[in-house]
Amino acid sequence: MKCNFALVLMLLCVASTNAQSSAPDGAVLYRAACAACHGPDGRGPPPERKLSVPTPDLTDCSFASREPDADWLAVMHQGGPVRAFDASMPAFGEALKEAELQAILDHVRTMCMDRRWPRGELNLPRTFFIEKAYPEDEAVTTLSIAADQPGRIVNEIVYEKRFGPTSQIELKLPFGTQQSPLDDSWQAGLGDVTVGLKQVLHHSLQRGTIFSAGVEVQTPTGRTSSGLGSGTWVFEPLLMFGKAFTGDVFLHLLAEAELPADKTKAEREAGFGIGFGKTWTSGTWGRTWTPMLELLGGRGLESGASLELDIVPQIQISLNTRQHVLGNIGVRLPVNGSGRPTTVLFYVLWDWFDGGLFAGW
Amino acid sequence: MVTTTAVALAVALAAVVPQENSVTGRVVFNGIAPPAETIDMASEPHCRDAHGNAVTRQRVRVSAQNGLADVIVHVKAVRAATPAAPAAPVVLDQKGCMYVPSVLALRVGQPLVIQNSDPVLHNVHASPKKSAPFNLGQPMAGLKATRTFKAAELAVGVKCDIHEWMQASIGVFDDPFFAVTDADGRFSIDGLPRGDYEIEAWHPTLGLRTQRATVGTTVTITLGG
Repeated sequence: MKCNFALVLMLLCVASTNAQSSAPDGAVLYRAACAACHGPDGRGPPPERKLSVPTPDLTDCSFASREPDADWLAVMHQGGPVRAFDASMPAFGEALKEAELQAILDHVRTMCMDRRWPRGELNLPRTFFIEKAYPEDEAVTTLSIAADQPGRIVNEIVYEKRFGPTSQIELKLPFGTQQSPLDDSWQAGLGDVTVGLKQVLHHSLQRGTIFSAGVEVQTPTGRTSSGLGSGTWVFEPLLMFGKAFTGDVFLHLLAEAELPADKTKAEREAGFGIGFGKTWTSGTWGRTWTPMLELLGGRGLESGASLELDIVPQIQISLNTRQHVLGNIGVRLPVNGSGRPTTVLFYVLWDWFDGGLFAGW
Repeated sequence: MVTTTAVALAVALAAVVPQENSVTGRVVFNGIAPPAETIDMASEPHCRDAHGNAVTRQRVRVSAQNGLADVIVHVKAVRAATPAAPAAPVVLDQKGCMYVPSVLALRVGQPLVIQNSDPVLHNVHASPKKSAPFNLGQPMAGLKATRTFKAAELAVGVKCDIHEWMQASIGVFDDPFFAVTDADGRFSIDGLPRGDYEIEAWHPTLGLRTQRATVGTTVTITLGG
């Protein structure tokens, strides 16, 4: 036992020496600061250790890969409450330097052995219209109010579920209300339900890039007489690209096509989206503010069709302490063409993997 | 030698004879003290070895003369000028995987220095209701952190989430009229104007007892039973 004690002392001395003279050793620091609760291998504490709250399995890639370093460091530095997690996770910001915390985190990142899981740094803030390349476990409800068409309101609920390291399915449920221009009566109902599949094709944390392909199938569930449905099946292949730059600046690119089964009921279209933004944080660990701008283009594939451009300025704000519930407000402004209304938009995004909707406030 | 003896006698007398401006006394225990609890330190070999194999914790420490240790005694509602909180810190040490001391008291605004004397990870998880809670990880020996409390509270609970047997209590007061009883249950609170006061005595396990006392007298407070 004395040998073990001597070994621990020696390791701590090594850690201390390293901290002073060179890059800190994350594995040594992990053993000193984290292993008591998270286990030497990240799978949890030894059986004789009685903790009031179970610790997560750090080798589980589904858990360990999702959040960016910034969120991990916030909890390591400030303790669990900074993200509304359990208060039994202590703050190490006074005991360890930031470089030492980063070294520990770098070591923790090695515990997920499956490199297919894209890192949370590539999960860029969600815009209103450009599908992001990162697969997510999210629910988003978006409210669209046509500013120059009073009585036209659409509420869309999107449910996304990740499966495996790089895949995601999603379901879009639009609900619309529309006031008849003829007799002022209100029409309401389900719109065209869409199901989708997304697959990450490539991702690189080093380059900050992620590239995915997907397909969505829009079903003719909405009533065409109410203006809530297209009346035909529509197949939508899409390509998505995301890039994270330094300074929390990011870029989304989207290319897509809409291919209706019945060309007499809907037009074949090709479209693109370019979105970019930057995230600011209140204080070091607080609320995030992300102004973004989308440029959306669409063009009918029939000859003679013109390119229609819209811009969508918007700002996303984290709403709760855990930062897994976010709000976005923006407006879609037609740049050219006619017949497309200016639309005011709101969404509430719930990253349900991180906790309940009412947890973490 | 004569001088030394005289000083020692004076100190001893001062400890037992009530002064004009003080309340002195003892807290005594009524009842049968619960047996010491065995602490299983298997999860922390360093601490287990530091204590030997049989580590115990006595939640109610009673002396041979029935004096009760670890009682926070406070004279309430004293009408006197309150000096500023001392700059000298009160120290809460983590040694052998135990809090030393496990019961302490300090002023609002007085520094509390929390230090780790063990080469193992401890966390100091304080849950005050009237001040900001904190939970500090101290993974190495020699680490220190300082905190203050902004409001009076009897008492702030402190625990280590890693070693569930580590628990401490901190009395926080906005006046200087408090003390923690020694191993024989004795206390002395000075600087009091003449008068009758209510005294509260609080023990982490036995709870709170209040009674009246007159400055310049000796008081006996009974807890338990």
